[in-house]
This record gives sequence, C-alpha cells and structure tokens, in this order.
Amino acid sequence: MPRANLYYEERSPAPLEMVWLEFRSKPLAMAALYMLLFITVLTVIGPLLTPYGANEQFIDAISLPPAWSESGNIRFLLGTDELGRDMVTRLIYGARYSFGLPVLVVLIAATIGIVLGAAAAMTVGVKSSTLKHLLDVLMSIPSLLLALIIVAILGPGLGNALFAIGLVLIPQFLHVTRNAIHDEQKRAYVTASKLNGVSKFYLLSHVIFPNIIKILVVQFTIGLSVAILDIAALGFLRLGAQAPTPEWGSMLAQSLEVAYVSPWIMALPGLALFLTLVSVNLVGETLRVAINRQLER
Amino acid sequence: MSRYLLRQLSLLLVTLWLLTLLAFGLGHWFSGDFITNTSGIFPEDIRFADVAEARAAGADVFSQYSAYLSHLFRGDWGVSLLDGEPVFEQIALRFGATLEIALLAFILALLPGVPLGVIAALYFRKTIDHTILTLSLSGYSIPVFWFAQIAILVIAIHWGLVPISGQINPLYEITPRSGSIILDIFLEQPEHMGAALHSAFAHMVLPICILAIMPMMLIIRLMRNSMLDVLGQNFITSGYAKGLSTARVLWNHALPNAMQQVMRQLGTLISLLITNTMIIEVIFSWPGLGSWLVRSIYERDYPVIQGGLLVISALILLITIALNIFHAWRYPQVRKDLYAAS
Amino acid sequence: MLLDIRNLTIAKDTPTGRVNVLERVNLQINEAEIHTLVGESGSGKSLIARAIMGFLSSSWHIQADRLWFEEQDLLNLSAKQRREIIGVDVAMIFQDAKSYLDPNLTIGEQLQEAVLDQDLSGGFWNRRKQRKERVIQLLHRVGIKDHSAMIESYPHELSEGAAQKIMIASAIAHRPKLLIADEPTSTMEPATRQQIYRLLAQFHARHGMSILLISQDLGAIMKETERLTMIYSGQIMESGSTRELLDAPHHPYTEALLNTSLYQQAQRPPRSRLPTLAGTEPSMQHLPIGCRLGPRCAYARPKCVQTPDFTKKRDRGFACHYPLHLEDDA
Ligand SMILES: Nc1ncnc2c1ncn2[C@@H]1O[C@H](COP(=O)(O)OP(=O)(O)O)[C@@H](O)[C@H]1O
Ligand SMILES: [Mg+2]
Repeated sequence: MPRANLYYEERSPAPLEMVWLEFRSKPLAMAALYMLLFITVLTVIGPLLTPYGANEQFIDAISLPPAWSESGNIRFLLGTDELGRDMVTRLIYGARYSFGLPVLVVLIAATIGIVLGAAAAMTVGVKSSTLKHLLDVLMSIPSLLLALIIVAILGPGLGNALFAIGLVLIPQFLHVTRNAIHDEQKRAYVTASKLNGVSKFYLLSHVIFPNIIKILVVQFTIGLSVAILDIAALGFLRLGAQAPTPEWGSMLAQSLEVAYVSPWIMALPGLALFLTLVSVNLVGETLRVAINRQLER
Repeated sequence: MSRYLLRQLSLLLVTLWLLTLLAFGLGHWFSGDFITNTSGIFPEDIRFADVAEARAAGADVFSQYSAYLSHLFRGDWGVSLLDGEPVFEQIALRFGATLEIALLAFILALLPGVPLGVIAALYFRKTIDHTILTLSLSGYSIPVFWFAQIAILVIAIHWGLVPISGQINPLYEITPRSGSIILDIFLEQPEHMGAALHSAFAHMVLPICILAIMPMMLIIRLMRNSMLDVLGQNFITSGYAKGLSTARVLWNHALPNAMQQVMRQLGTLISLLITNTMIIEVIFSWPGLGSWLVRSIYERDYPVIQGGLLVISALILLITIALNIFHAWRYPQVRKDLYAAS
Repeated sequence: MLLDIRNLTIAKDTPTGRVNVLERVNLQINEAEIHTLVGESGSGKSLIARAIMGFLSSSWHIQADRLWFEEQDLLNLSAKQRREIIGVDVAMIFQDAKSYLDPNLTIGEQLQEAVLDQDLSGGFWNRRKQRKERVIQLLHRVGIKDHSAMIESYPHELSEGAAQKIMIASAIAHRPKLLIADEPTSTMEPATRQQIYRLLAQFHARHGMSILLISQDLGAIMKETERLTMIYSGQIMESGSTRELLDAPHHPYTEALLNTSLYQQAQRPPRSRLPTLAGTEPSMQHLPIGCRLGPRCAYARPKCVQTPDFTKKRDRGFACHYPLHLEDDA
C-alpha cells in the first residue's frame, strides 16, 4: 500500500530499504543478485529441469563440443565430456555440490559460531584481551591449510571436506560475533538498557543482536565465498569430492587430461564457479558498502 | 614499545607452542603407529627399536611430548614414509622455492595494486573508479586453479611461449642448495649461466603472474577503501589549508595513513597468498612446500604432513607477528590504542 | 577592504529539491580588524568559512556577486591559483583541532610543513635547521615553553587546548593577512579560552592581522572585537561596530540574543520570566520563506514573507523591514 502523503514530511528509508536502494542504484550488483537467485533456483529444482542423469553416458556422443560449433549437437547444448556425459546436466547437478552444500555448511558453522561467540562475549571470564590477540593471530592461518590437515586426518572425500570447512569456519564466526558484541557493549544505548534492568538474554537478543546482524550477514557472505572456493579447491586437489561426483572442482580436475583436445570440459565448470563466486562477492561487497553508509549517518 | 614487543613475542611463543601441540597430536590422531607417524621408521625396520625408545614409546604422553620437542629442536623431524628422505632437510630445500614465488608474486601484486587503488579512490564514483573496482572484484573471484589451467592451455601449450611445469630445464643440472632457483644458479655458476637464468625465468613467469592476480585485486580494494576513508579526514583539509600542493598532501598525509590501514589487513592477504601458492605449486609441479604437503596428504606420508604443517603455519605466524610489530613501530599512535585495549 | 563578500548564496541538492543553505550573505572585513560572526549552531557559519577557503566539495552550488580577497575575485581563479592565495594569505583554525592533525606525524614535522620556503635563506643544507628553529619560534609564540617535548609528540598525546595552540602556530607561520577562527574555544574551559583570545589579540596587535572569529555565543566573544555580524539560519541579520550594535540593535534577532545573554539576565528582577525566542530554529528542509526569523520574531508582520533587503546605514547594515531603535538614531 502506498503511503498517503497528507502532510509534507520527510521520510528517511528504513535500513533494509536502504540496502535495497543501494542494490538498485548499481546495475552490476542487481545482476549479481539475480545471478545468485538463479543459482539458488537451479540448486533447489535443478535436477527436475535436466533431460539426463548426472552420470548417464552416451556412447555415441563422446567429447562433443557445444551445440553452436560445427560438430556440435543440439541435444547437448554445452557438449559432452570424455565419457559422453551431458555438460549442462552435470553443471546443474554440480550447483548442489558446489553451491548448495557450501551454503548449508556455512549456515551450520554460522549458527554454532554465533551461539558460541555470544556465549563467550556474555561470560565475564573470557573477556581477556589476551585471548582476543591469540585468536587474532591463530586466525591468520589460511582456512585451506587447516582444512587440508583435517582431511589428512580423516581421509579424502566430500563429506570430510565439508566437515573440515565447517570446522574451520566456526572460529571465524565466533571471533566476529564476539568482537561485534564487545564493541556494541561499549555503546551508550546498551548501558541505558542495562540500567533499565533488562535481563541478560533480552539484552542479547533484543538490544545487541539487531545491531550486529548486519556485520554477521557480511561475514556470512565472506564465509560463503571462502567455503565455495575451498571446497572446489579440495575437489580440484582430489582431496574433496571424488571422481564421478559432478562437483565443479573435481570436474575440473578430471578434465585436465583432455583439456587440450576438448577445452570446454575444463572451461565450463570453472566458469560456473567463477560466476557463482563473483555473484557472492559482489552481493557481499554491496551489502558491506550499504551497511557502512548507514553507520556513517 | 618494548612492552609491546615483549607482548607480541610472547604471543608468538604461545602460538608456536600451540602449533607443536597440534603437530604432536596429529601423530596420535593419524591412523597407524605413533612412532612411525612421527619418525617415518616402519616397525619392520631394524632401527625401529632405537627410535621407539628415543621417542618414549609406551611412556606417558608428557614424556612423549618432551621427547618429540627435543627431536624437533635437534632438527630430527623424521624421514618421509615414501622415500626415506629426512623431512627437515627437505623442508629447508623446499622452503626457498616456495618463498621465491610467493615473494615475487607479492611484489608483483603490490606494484600495480597500490597505485590502481589510489587512482580509484581519487576518481571516486567516476568511470575510472567503477571500472577498476569491477575489474578487481571479478579478478578476485577467479578460481586460481581454473585460471592457471586456462593460462597453461593458451600460453604454454597453444602458443608455446613458456614451459608447462617445473623450475628449470633439467639439462642445466642445477643442484638444489637453497631451493630458490635463481639463487641456486648463482651458487652453481654453470657454464651457460645466461641460458640457465633465461630458462628459470621462463619457468617462473607464468606461475608468478597467476599467483599475483588475486592478491593484487585485494590490494586494489583495500587501498581504495582506506584511501577514501583517509581523504575524508580533517587533517587532509588542514594540509590544503597550509598551502600544500595536492601532490604533497597525497604523498605526505594521505598515502601513509592509507597504507597504515592496509597494513592492518595484510594478514588476509598473506593467508590468501599462501593458499594460492600451495595450489599453484601443485599445478606447475613447483618443488615447494605446498606441492609437497599436498602430495604427502594423498600418500599419507605422516611425518611430512606434520613437518609441512608446522613450517607453513609457523611462517605465517611469524609474518603476522612481524607485521604487528612493524605496524606498531611505524605508527606510534597505534600503540596507544593497544595499551588502552589491554 | 580585505575580504568583500556580496550576496553569497550556497545551495545544496536535497531529495526535496535545491535548498539555499546560505542566502545572499554579505560580509566585509577591513584590514587589521577583528570581526566576529555570531549565530546559532547550524546557521551556516562554518559554511561561510569553508566557502572562503575553497573547501566546499562540488556537491555545493556557490553563487556570489562578489567573493573578493584583496580585490581579487576568488571565484574566477583556478584551484591552483586560489590555493596559492589561500595558503599564504589566509589561514584557518578549526573547531576540533585534534582531528585536523595528521595522527602519524610528529607535531614538529607538521609545523615544518607550514613554514614558508621564502622565509628560509641559504642552501638546502641549512634549511632543515632553519625550519626547525622557525618551528621552535612558533611554539614559543603560542606560549608553549617546552618546545623539545612538543616537537616529538604525536597528536594523540596532546590535550584539545594544546592541539588548538598547535593549529594557531601552524596558522600564523605564514603571517596571514586574514585568520579565520571557527569556534576555536567552544570546547574549552573559560580560562583556556581567555588564553587563546589573548594570543589572537597579540598577533592582531603585532602584525596587523585581521581575524574573523566565529562564535555561537554573544557572551563569549573577544573583547577586542571591533565589528559584529549576526547570522540566523543562513541569512545575515545585522552587522555593525560592536559597541553600536550592542547598545542599539536594529534587528529583533540581535535584541533577542542580547536579552537572553547571561549579562542581561542578571539585571532582571527576581522571579520574572526569562525572555527567549519562541520556537526552534528551522531545519534545512523546512526553511520559512522571506525573512527566516519571521515565525519566531515578536515583531513579525505580513510583509516579512518577503526577504528584506540588506540596508546599509553608515557603518551598519541590517536586513529587516521594521528595524528597532532607528528613530533615536535619525
Ligand atoms: N556535509 C553536509 N551535508 C549536508 N548538509 C550540511 C553539511 N554540512 C553542513 N550542512 C548544513 O549546512 C548548514 C550550516 O552548517 P554549518 O555551517 O556547519 O553551521 P555552523 O557552523 O553555523 O554550526 C546546516 O544546516 C547543516 O545542516
Ligand atoms: Mg560550525
């Protein structure tokens, strides 16, 4: 319903509306948002759309180039791989592994990390800055290295790779949450609420949390970008998803032997990965800019 | 300052100690025998009994840990399960190779990255800014392992401009001494020095360029954002009020302050660089720590995994702490904040 | 005339259209004069100062019949030429001085930047030394005795008052003809304020420097002030010599401010009602048309919806249709 403008009044947009306005003002950010939406839809209902199975092989169509080249076939829009599997189908199935699973993993890691972070921030004992500095330094160890170690203990495999990435992301969310709550606790409005005698839980959930949710959302996009890239990297190093799985990273790894003869087998999964990452990063960056702009006001 | 130095050094010691605990723990968590996992000696080996005794097999965890530590300090990091090479010596050799490309890539990223970021900030919200920002964000999103493959396909195979992998043409017979191929050539003084150097550069150029891309894109964005932040500060205005020229205001006031903010986030950059170095080493068969560590994971070469993890993580921690110290030394007002926080 | 501003209008685009934040501002400053600009916070005082210095970003639209400094039209100069004039002949000290100091450089380094090359002599080898000596001189002049400690200090180690003194030292390094002091003392306790004022008065007396002092409060202006200009909501209400203006204000706004000042209130009978201006100052989006004081003015009449012209009478000027105290003057 449009707001009736009876009086001359100035309306400043609500925070969420401002984020939306920021997106609207940037065509590229908008494109990224639609792209992300598209990938999400593919992840959810993709297998309903594909004509073939992910591992269905066509003996008569091995290493077929994309349909628009001379020797292409319209049945296989983006061609087939060296085993005669349809690339479109594999890419769409791959969205589940390379985008869907990372989203789930990051969601789980974020939930655990935020709960632990909030608990750590609200417990008096853990407030020492020494721990903060220690975490700061330990956090500088790259996530892929830690994931590699965990995979080394558990053995290669998609499940283990996912578990490793999730485990690595938890401390990052914990750290960010804890720091954000600490920063917020120093603000006057929190003190005011405390003086009003609200309970600790109310303080956390109704006073502090709405104000740090923006930071957490941005951290979520950062974590998602890391998770997608790392899971694909593990797949590429043959330590993550294994051979027939249409995970984009492992598809890339398998394409290496035939890359020279049929380059599209290598180019396409990487392209899909790139588009996904660009969208996630662009959306994250736009969110960050929009939020920073709100903080300035 | 000395107080801060002390704090940071103790922080370094504590984190390194935690790292040794982790590496020690790995020996137990890996499948198989603890002694074999840490020393690389199989139970069938005749040396096994001696090694087991030296590493306190069967004793309690604490004496095992202290035995582990004393081996660690003596440089006895066990031998590879695969080829029996001593891990410590291998690390010393591969360290140089890794540092060589990582460092060169870092410099290559810094050189265009900083000016581009500054330019973007100076043309804030103009076409140049949008172009640079879009390029840097998309460049930052290119999966490095994919990009490397494409580059190899086009530049190395299709055009045949540079070799596909390795450090140098093996015909030159350079014995690895430091691991860094350029240094090794100078140490070896081979007959065809110029040709050897040329071969080494040709092998190096592609991995380094690819490695430099992501950090460069990150630097551009970091630089732009901090420059924008600084340019909005009041002391920039007062620089103009003193009658300084734009160039001097930028050079004396804006850049140093922007660099300070970038320095603070350099940790992200280092971690990105190390991650990508590991992947690039695998792709280009670069004989560095990263490819070695990844291979050891496939092969379950536990002593190597332990050693590699220890060295790479220690390197990162060292750089992080060194950066912290440098930051506090160069930018004195930071120390006040640090004290205030403590 | 050192500075001559005629009908300066500064506008900003807002979502509801372009707003004249400053409207037809007139301001004249003579050589060797202390001039005080008084107005409430948000009335556009800093905006005038920034317009003179040329520090307004391109999102502001500036128009003026005249913006002259020493007979040179500042608006027609290139940015570089303008900076040469402003950098040498005009200096400004800002309200929160600390944020105007570079946190990464020592006070000594920052003051050295302000020293003019033409004040130095000889080859480059002894210029460094000369610069340092000049900095020490400057510090002594603003009353900082312990110069060696100060030179080594970083801005975060200073108090706001000390930072303000550094700003003054940096400002006078050029021996400017005009010094703009934007509420230099509003965050200070009265004792420090007097100290700063004494310093400014000294420079005025010694070098014949003009000072444009910006203040929120009639009660806290320098006693050496020769002329006053009153600004309300972006319009100049009245200007004139301090004595005449305070004795017989022509503009209702000046009168209202005088009545509310502490000095006047002390002379009121006990339990009497304190006179104040009714209402609040208008926001930038809802500026009244005509005289912006209109809705709050006790003497307002229908004609006040037309913007009154700035009338000049001898040394004084005012913008009001129904000026006060004019009869006894004629
Ligand atoms: N950066 C800005 N953006 C929008 N409006 C501004 C900005 N700076 C100042 N203003 C507006 O200009 C008017 C004058 O401000 P200013 O000159 O700072 O007042 P003063 O110095 O008298 O307190 C105010 O109404 C303020 O809202
Ligand atoms: Mg002001």
